[in-house]
Amino acid sequence: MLSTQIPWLTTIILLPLVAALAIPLIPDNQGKTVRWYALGVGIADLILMVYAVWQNYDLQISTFQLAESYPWIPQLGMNWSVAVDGLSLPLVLLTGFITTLSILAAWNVTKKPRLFFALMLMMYSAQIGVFVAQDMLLFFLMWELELVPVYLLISIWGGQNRRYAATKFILYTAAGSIFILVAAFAMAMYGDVVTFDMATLGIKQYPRAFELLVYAALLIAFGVKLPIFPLHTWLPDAHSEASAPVSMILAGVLLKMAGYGLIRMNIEMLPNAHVSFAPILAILGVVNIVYGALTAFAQTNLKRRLAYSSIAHMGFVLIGIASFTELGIGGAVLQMVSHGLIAASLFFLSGVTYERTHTLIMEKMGGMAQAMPKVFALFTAGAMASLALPGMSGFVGELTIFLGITTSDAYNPMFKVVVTLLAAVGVILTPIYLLSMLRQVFYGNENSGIVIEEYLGDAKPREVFIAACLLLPIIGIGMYPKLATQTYDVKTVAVAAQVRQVLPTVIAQKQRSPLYSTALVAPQLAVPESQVLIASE
Amino acid sequence: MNLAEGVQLVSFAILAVMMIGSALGVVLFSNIVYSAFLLAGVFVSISGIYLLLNADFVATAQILIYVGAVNVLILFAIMLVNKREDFKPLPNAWVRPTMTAIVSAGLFVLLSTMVLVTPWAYSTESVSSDTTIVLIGQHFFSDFLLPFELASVLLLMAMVGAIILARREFLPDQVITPDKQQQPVLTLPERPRELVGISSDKTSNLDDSRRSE
Amino acid sequence: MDFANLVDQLNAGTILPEGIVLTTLMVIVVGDLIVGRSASRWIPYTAIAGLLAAVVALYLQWNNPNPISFLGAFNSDDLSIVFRGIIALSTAVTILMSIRYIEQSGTALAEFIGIMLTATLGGMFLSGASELVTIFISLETLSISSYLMTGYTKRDPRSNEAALKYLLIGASSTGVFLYGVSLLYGLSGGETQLSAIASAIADANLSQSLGLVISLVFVIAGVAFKISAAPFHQWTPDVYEGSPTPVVAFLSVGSKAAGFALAIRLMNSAFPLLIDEWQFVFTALAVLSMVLGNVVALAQTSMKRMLAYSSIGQAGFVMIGLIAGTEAGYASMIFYLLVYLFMNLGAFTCLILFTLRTGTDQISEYSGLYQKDPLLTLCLSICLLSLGGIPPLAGFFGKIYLFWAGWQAGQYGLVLLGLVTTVVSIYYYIRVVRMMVVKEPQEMSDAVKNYPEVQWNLPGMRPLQVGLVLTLVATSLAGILSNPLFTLANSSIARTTTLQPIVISSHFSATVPAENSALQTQQ
Repeated sequence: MLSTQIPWLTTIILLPLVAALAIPLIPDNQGKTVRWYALGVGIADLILMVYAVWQNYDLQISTFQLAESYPWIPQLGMNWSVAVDGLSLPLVLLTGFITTLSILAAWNVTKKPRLFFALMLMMYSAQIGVFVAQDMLLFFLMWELELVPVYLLISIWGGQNRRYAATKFILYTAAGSIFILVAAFAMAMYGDVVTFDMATLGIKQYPRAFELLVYAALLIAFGVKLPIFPLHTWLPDAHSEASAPVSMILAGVLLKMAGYGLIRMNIEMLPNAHVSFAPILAILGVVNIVYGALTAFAQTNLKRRLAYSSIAHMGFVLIGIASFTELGIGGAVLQMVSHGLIAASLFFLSGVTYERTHTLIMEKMGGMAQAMPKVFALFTAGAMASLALPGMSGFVGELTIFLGITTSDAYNPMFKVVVTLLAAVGVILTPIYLLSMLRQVFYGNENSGIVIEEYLGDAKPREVFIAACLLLPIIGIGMYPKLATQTYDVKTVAVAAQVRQVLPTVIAQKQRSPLYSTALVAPQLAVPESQVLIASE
Repeated sequence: MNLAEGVQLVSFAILAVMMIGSALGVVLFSNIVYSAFLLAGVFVSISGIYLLLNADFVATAQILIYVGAVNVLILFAIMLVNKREDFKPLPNAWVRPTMTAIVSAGLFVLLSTMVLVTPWAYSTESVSSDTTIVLIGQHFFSDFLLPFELASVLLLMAMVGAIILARREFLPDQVITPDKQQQPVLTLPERPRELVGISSDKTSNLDDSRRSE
Repeated sequence: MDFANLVDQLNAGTILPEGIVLTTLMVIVVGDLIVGRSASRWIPYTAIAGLLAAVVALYLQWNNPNPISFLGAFNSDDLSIVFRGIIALSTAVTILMSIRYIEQSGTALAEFIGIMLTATLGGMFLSGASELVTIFISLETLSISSYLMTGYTKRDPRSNEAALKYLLIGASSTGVFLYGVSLLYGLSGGETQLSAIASAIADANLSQSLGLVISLVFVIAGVAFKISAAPFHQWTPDVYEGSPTPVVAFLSVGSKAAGFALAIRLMNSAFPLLIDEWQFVFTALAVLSMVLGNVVALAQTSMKRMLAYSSIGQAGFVMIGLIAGTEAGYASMIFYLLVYLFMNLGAFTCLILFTLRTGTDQISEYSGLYQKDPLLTLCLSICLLSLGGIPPLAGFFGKIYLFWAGWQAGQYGLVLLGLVTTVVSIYYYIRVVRMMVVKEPQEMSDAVKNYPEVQWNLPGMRPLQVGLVLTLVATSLAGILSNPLFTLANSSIARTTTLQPIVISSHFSATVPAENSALQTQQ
């Protein structure tokens, strides 16, 4: 393993945090200095990230790199241990990219600018921390660290209903996150040695019931964040009430923390339980897709529609995670990255629209295309990416996941057919609601009731630049997927291999235990054992 | 049972009846002066029981301090205040005493059971009444030295506290500084919450004047 | 009888910190008497200096090889040193915040500080007391001083009500406690030393007798009153609301810490035979406190009442460590109390500052404070969020350690409940933060609209500012740099013999012969 003398990751995590704490010290000129400062920090951190990876990261290795570990609180067994591998790397880069862009997107924040940018930078740190933490307690700390900044960002700079949305957000997330702590305690205290190191916890052998319980706890925690169907109700409120830059981060990065957690903990650390839970995950994924798409269709608020489309898209991640194939798990990561970019661009553009129209109700808009053609063009491009137009990253992500689930040999064909068909229904619904959104907002005659801020006019160069920055990788990945896949490929192959390795043993156990077949209403993993064994070899 | 034991038993019975009777009187009489005098009766009976236990010094102290000082002070306070207050009869006033009686009776049963069933570790060595003071003194200056000394601090502070609470304050004229921050002396700086129904009270008139500033 | 020998046996050096506090107390009382009112300029600083000197003296006594003093009446082991340190520090910070407050209320400062020092003295002795009479006297010293301070603003009917309520409930709880303690005395055949009691009861084979159980229940009732655990909490909200705020700060930190020290020592030394029973009783108390404290706090409109209920909830969290009964459990209690000291006192400092400037403590009056006083907003937000357990503040680490220890000891249900109630508590803490930070300028409350200009050069404001910054820094950094605190908490437990599993035999043989020989030499 490449060990470096310079603590790259620690620097990357702490730089925005320290910079945020220094914000009260810098002289303020109506928030103009602060925003340059924040942008500078964002870019510096991004450059640092890219440089560190460029210099010290080997894409061909699936294990942790750039690892650092310092004992923090030895009495608790808590270490400051951070590292990246193929799973973290794309998401860390995504975080740096989106957060920096969202700072740029927040250029016009005039209300309490110091606080705003300080909170943005704190969130920056927390998110990177979540993706690189290799210690369960550190992970939990970083996970919780992001709570209050998001709460304040929504409740101060949000829309009409912001306080309700923010409170709902913090209560849901805090309540969900206690399950992470419980799971961490349970796993760490199991056996003789108390450790929170994720790798060690993954090696430990747990009894089956214990593993299932821990898995369920983590599933709830991540299910709130992802969100998974019955736990999703905070998301439309939070995403639609937050201001555009904050929504960019919420949709672009925060949801990915849950997807990351599912792969990192649920699959890697609890593979046996994953085998049992995978059908449920697949079903939940399908429910997410269909429910999200149908509900999005019924929304009249632009951002709420986008929020529900996020729920639908995260359903694909769940299916990919449940697929037991390299393609599927890789697709899940790709879908996360691609959705991060797409959702960020759509939320950003809806913010741009809102600044000009001061409404998000689609019925009140119409004919915007004439007034602001550039916004229209960019919005269309984003929507196309979101509805998985070939040549854009959304297409590659969803296609890979479909391929993954259909080629999966762990499920019986009937189940695969049903899942794929229903997910495909979602794919058909997506264009319907996104295109109708475009139609309502941009086509037709200009609604007489709408007042467009004339002085703002069409998209400013800054706004075009942000959207272009987001669309460029979307198209890039769509055209040449290896751009993204090479960062995580070796890792997802290893993850898939790890799950597939336990598949036969778990299925063998399952057949002996009548409890399992009654406890799960999901379709059985009814593959003849011999086939599985062949496949895993 | 020899004569001494008989006398002891009889005295104990008399003292116990006296004590319980006067204690009930303290609680049940509605005239507070009667209660105060009966309290003296309780103290005297207790000191009698101390005597039966060969604790002559404690018995004397009990009479001197409780009857001679505490109780007299209570009487002084009652006589000086001498305020008759007629309370409005509460509806369902019987509920609370009944509940209290039930709880107390239950507690009494529990505690007496406990006293009876527990095999206490009796101290067998007899103490002659001459040496009690000596023994107490020895304890005070050996193993109970710390609490003994600490008690002096406690008493000192109780005295200081009593003086603070009782002394007449020199209240500066408040009109001098028409500062908005001015709060009436010897009150909390927080405004009281607006309570419904007590607005006719004297205290909140004071606060009203502050609020109107 | 040999005087030198007796002095040697007393081992009086162990109460040097208390001696320093006592000397300070005397200097203040006598100095005020001689110099008069102008003494109030130097008196608070003398008191703080004395308390800090006491803390230094405590530090020097760390890891004392011979902690038993006064023939077994006082045990200056590391556990008691930590608790005495917590109490002394909390008083020092409380005095910082009380100077301006007391002067503004027109009451005498010297007496107030004198009483507060006496309460501290009582608390410090209580933390180390290992003998029933000492326990009782120090408990009374603490309690009576607290009653006096509660009623200190004597022309305010709320203060009077609070003092009377506290006095009556406190006196009855002391009575109950004393009854329980007297049963212990009887059961052990006339022993007053905690360790001797435990072994005497074990020898007499009375470990399952009704008397011992009742004594346990009564003793716990007395202790629970001090730490205001539900259902012995009824006095807390009213007393907190009606007392001068510095007193509330002391009651919620110093007095509570003394109560926990007493609980640890009493339960471990006197009731090791009933460990299941007392753990059960404390579990019930912890469950009730966490649920009731945190849920009722949601409905409060006054900051003082909210903090009162939150302190009930916090006591519930701390009890998890006690119930865990392991070394980590006790260490987590100490660690939590250490950080609780800073964050809770910080919150109270902010409360006092706001009250002094606006004359109110209603939560709704805080709205829009961010625009007028960012420092106060920042400090109060940090302290409240820390109380709610938000990382990376100190409270997060404290709670994690408590839950960690609880989970390790197998108290899964309790830890889960603690986590759930923590989420509830986040809601009401963040409500205040929202009031201050989120509200728009046009939603500003009247109190904040008329907010006076921030002036730190008024008399008595500097100490407040120092206290504010001190607690702010401690609350923010004590979590991240918590290693020394963890080490302190852990080593204090590891070196305390009474908390080791082999309590009765080793401890008993070490102390009692010394006492016996002392008595013999006198006769």
